[in-house]
Amino acid sequence: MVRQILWRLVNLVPLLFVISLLVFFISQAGPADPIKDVLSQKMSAEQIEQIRQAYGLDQPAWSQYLHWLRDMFTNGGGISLSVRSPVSGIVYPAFLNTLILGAATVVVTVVLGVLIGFVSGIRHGRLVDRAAMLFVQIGSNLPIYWFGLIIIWLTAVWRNWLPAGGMHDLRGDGGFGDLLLHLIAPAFAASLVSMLIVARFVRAAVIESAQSDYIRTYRSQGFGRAAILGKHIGRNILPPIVNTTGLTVGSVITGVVFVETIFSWPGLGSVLLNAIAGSDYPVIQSGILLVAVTFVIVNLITDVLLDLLNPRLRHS
Amino acid sequence: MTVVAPPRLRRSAAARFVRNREALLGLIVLVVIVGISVLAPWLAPHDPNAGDPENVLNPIGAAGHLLGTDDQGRDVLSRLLYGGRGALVVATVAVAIATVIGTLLGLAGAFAGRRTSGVLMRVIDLLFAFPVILVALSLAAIVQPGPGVLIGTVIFGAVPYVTRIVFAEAKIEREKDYVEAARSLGASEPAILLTEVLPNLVSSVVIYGTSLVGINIVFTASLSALGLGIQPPNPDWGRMISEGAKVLVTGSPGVATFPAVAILLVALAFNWLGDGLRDVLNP
Repeated sequence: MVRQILWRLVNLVPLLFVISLLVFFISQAGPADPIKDVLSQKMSAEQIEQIRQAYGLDQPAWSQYLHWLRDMFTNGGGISLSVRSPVSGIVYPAFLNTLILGAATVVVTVVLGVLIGFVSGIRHGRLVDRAAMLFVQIGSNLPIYWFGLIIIWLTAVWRNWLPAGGMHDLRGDGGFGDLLLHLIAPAFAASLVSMLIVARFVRAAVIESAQSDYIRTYRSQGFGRAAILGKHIGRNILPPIVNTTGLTVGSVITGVVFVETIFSWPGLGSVLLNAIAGSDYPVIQSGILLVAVTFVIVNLITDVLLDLLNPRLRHS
Repeated sequence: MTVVAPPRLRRSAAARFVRNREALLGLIVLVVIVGISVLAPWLAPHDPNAGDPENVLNPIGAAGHLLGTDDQGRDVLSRLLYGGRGALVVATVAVAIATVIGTLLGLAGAFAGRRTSGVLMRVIDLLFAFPVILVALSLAAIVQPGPGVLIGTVIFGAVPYVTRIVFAEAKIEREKDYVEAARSLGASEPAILLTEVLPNLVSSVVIYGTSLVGINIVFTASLSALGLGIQPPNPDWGRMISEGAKVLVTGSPGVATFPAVAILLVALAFNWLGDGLRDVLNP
């Protein structure tokens, strides 16, 4: 078991190396020449060459890569090109906000996805199931941007239930309850795609599990419906739930970035979109690297959880 | 004495297609929408980009503007007719490229040695769940936001799906007798792959690709809405949603909602067509 986890950790090293290379490549392949862009054309060739040396741009690519990597680790990626302040001060707080919204989205994804999947699975073929499947089909083909707008309209304009956007009430105390209230609508909107994927998988797992021989045996022995559903089917669909939730992490992150703009959530998605508009490569690279590494870590956690849930591995 | 004609056991694929209501509906919707997009210059009542400060935010059914106007006074119906062009072309082209790449990778994985195929599929598994938005953002930073970003992102997102399907099916095909027969006749491995195995996978790939186009039309619309995709002044369904966002909550929901419905309809039609094709080609 421990060896398995260690092996997974070792496997991450080449992966993280490749990701860092690709992110480094963004500024290398970008159309903007950082020097020409920042400085006027009146400078002489020698002056430009001096500045190139000062920034290490005359070095070979591998040396630039090492410098860049060291910058990422030590000060979060250097100085922003557009705001002239350290990248870490821009990217880290935004990343924390995105993480909060992402975690809330995962919670909504699992709770609603499992609920929809479980209910429609045990009522397979009935009206509830067909209604749920229609919802799944339409929901997974809706543009998430429009879905977010409709959620705002429903919860904040038509009925004054929830705040229309942002992370805290400006007049409020900025407490946890206030944050929760601001989280509900964007987390629900961002979970649209991932929630429906989970619902579909759970439904299939419940249907398969309910038709298996051992459930039939329990039934014939007179076990109550509730006991069978809760104890046996519930236990059997736990690994697929963890697995599918892990598979939807990518969709969750994508959903969060889409939703941040709509709900004016002060997260990394908005920061990155602004940085792209301003060709602010240090911010872009630092932000993308952070999200990619987060994705890899969440993936690792899912794999380890699955290992723990697998009795064949647990007892070895 | 009446002679009962023996039932035909297998109808032709075309006959089965026509009998499949889902597939037929999907096809009809797509033909209509592609037709409208192609004929937009002749169908549109107004120039889709011509603003009119006198007629801003006309309601649905206003004189001369059947679906109203947006906040710049542009005719929503005309923009709607033009707005699918970019999305349809981008999604179809990108999925077609992804299908070719994914098929080659999947075939190679299924017929490669244990080690190579293990590494390949491990990478594909990881990419399967990768947040594609990061690819879109990176591409937008390298080349400017535009259709190229959409095509690259869709290819990156769709290749793992196609590879998995082809890999799984090619592994089953590999064990079948006809492959063994070809091998014993002296055919080389690449020849077996391309002339024997590939034709048996085409229908699965086509079915899967059809559904992928639908999903990706929805996805690219959201990317365009964020400003990473198709750029103004070109009318585009995705951008219409974000441009209509401001006025959606202030009483003009149509500007953003009509393009959303158009996207939903196209995506559903591709799904129906894909599901229908599965019933027809892989009964």
